[in-house]
Amino acid sequence: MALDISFLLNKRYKPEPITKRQARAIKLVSHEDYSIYTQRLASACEEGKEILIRLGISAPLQSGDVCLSFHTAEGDLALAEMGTFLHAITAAVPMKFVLKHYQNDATVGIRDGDIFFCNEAIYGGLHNPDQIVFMPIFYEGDLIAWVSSAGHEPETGATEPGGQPADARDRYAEGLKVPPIRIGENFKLRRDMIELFENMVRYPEMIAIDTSVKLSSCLRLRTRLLEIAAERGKEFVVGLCRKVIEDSSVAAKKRVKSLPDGKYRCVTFLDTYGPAEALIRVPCTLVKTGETMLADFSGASPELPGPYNAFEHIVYAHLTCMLFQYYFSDLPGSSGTLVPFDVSCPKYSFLNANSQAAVSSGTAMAPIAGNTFMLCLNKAMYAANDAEISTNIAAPPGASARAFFFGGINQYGKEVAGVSLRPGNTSGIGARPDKDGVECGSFWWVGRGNAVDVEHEEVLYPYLSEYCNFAPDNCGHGKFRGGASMAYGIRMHNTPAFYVQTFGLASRFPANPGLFGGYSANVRPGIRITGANWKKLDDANVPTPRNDLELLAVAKKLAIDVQILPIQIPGAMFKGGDFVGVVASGAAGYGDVLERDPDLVASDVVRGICTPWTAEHVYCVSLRADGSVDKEATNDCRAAERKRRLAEAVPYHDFVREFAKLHPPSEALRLYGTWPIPKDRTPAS
Amino acid sequence: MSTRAITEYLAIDLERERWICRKCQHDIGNARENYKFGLVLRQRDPGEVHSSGIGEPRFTPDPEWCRLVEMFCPSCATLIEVEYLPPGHPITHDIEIDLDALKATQPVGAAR
Repeated sequence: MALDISFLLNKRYKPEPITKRQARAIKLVSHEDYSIYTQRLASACEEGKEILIRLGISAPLQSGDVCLSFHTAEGDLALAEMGTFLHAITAAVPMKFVLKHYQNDATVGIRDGDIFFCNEAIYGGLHNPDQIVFMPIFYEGDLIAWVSSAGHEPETGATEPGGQPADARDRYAEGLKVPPIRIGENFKLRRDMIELFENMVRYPEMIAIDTSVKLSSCLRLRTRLLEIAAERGKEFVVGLCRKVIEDSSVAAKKRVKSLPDGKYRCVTFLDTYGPAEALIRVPCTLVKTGETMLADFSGASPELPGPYNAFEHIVYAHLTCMLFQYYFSDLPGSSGTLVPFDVSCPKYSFLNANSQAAVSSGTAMAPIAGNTFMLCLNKAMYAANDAEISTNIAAPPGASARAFFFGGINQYGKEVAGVSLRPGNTSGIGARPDKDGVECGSFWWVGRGNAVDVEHEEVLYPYLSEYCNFAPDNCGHGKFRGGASMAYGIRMHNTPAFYVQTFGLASRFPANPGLFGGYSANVRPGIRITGANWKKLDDANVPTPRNDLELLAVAKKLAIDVQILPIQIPGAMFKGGDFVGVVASGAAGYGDVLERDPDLVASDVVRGICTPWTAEHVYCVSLRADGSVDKEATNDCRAAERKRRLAEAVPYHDFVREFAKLHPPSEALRLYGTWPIPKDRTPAS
Repeated sequence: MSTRAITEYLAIDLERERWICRKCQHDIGNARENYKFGLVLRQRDPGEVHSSGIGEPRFTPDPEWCRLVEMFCPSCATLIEVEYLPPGHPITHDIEIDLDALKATQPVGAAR
């Protein structure tokens, strides 16, 4: 039974065939019933979500990085409130594992009041910080459904604090990994199981409280479902859950059918695997045929020597994030909605690693696969010429996964560990065909999430925010630009020792390409300043810099030593007075920059989203000293740029002949696989 | 002429099976082939777009690792597509529509 990955190999996160009981029960649910009772299920999930956000203590839970869901008795996702769309597929496989292996096992079994837990990727989860509590729902002695509550816990007792250890070489360095297991009976958690969890992590209160909160939210969902069963009978509940799946499937197939058949391709590149840098290829071919879509990642780079790998179902989960946030945003969060959609990742690529591989940071790499897929999908959506579909076209959101993990002694002398998600949850949202993207609006994985307040973090942890403002020029430029993101710099205080490791991608190669001529969001480094140097800035009595560019300018003036590093600064012990700064991921632009309204460019300069240099050199907008647009000079400048484009550009085949002679430096390709298209992969761990 | 918008800047004339620039109506090429064959291309140091003019290498893409490839309409110079590629990496054939299926769903003469 150990390492039973047949569920994943067979993609059992998709719905099982309809049973005879379900087929009979569906007939009990009228059109009116369906409208009323699916809303009641959704409202119950909202209640559960609020319980997690309000009572949970991990930053991701408070940010809405959660998912509450109802499942059929067979384990299929009927309806979820997301929170994070990743979990549209994560609870089904653990439930099906319990049903297959434990239901008829005398040593385990499934009983009313049982509480199960899972955080193991090879049993259907994502990475071990994502922890799921789930319960069977019985009525009149029959198993009629399951409920689940999932959320991210940023401390797993791995080799480094924060749940995503950069030095993990295989799954055994990643800390607490629990297959589907019963952790409670008679609606109560077992004290010995919680003791087990607490013993294995650096922040025991977090896992104890948050697991209890997840149970509370499951119980709320159970209460609401039993109310429906009491009103309409258990067969009605069985029929309702299956009907959501069936109707969602019909709606999703219809929508997919309206896209033009064909192949849509995009290739993007990662530049980082942990603290080291290397080029990693992420290609996607979206094959659209009739009512089906396949995202094929053939040509992806091989497995990576660290926790930066994913399994195929993890990639699938990330693609569903994009589907539910955009293309399927008005369809139910149900496994039925995903029926027409499939994924294929080459075996032993970093997107489909061997089962022993470390995958705890696969969730940081897979968003780039999500964005690559989204660019393909957007092209198909535009070509559909359907107003209902085109309203959801957008360049991808920022996916550079910036954050910092920490652990140590806080200002109250207490041991803490976790993650600051402000740099991750304040990424930009991509530009659209008729408007700019949203500033600081994205938490890539969590379409309906937010960022915890700065003040809240400052109360809990020994650091203060030195700046928290727009990062200039970090968005992708275009006719409509991507949403700006936030520059976040913190200074430690009142701590004898505090471990900090920054995290993210894209400090050499832009990771968020644009759409239809729009430019990518920019790269950005990590910044570190030692305490003594920062004191020099304090003593100079100058205004606190508002972002990283202003910090550099002030530091240069005052001869302060600023360390400009790859975005993922290796973990190290920090002291009071030390500073670290990262920038959230900007989002991609849409369309030709020369078509952007010059007045919007002027406004961006005033707001600190765009520098005067970019206004002049990229948008070809001439600004007067008072910041207003000189329209005549702008027209001249843009006409000159169009002439320059035609003078410098050459026909396709001439270009390709010369471009093919170039080659990246060999050190950039050490993990890439065969150049230029990776093939012949073998397991790295 | 029955044209169908495919991207912000490109359409397909379904009757003649030709890619057309939506900005200037320039005939770009055979709709059964890669539209990029009919564009003009230039490569740039990405720092020409992404640098903020501050002269810090770490605040701009590394030109040894990444080149900005821009693709223009040869007539009106509209920037139709952009790719960020390692130097020497093949250009992507990004849109390969099943033209026969598309024509079957849109009768000739029905402009969209």
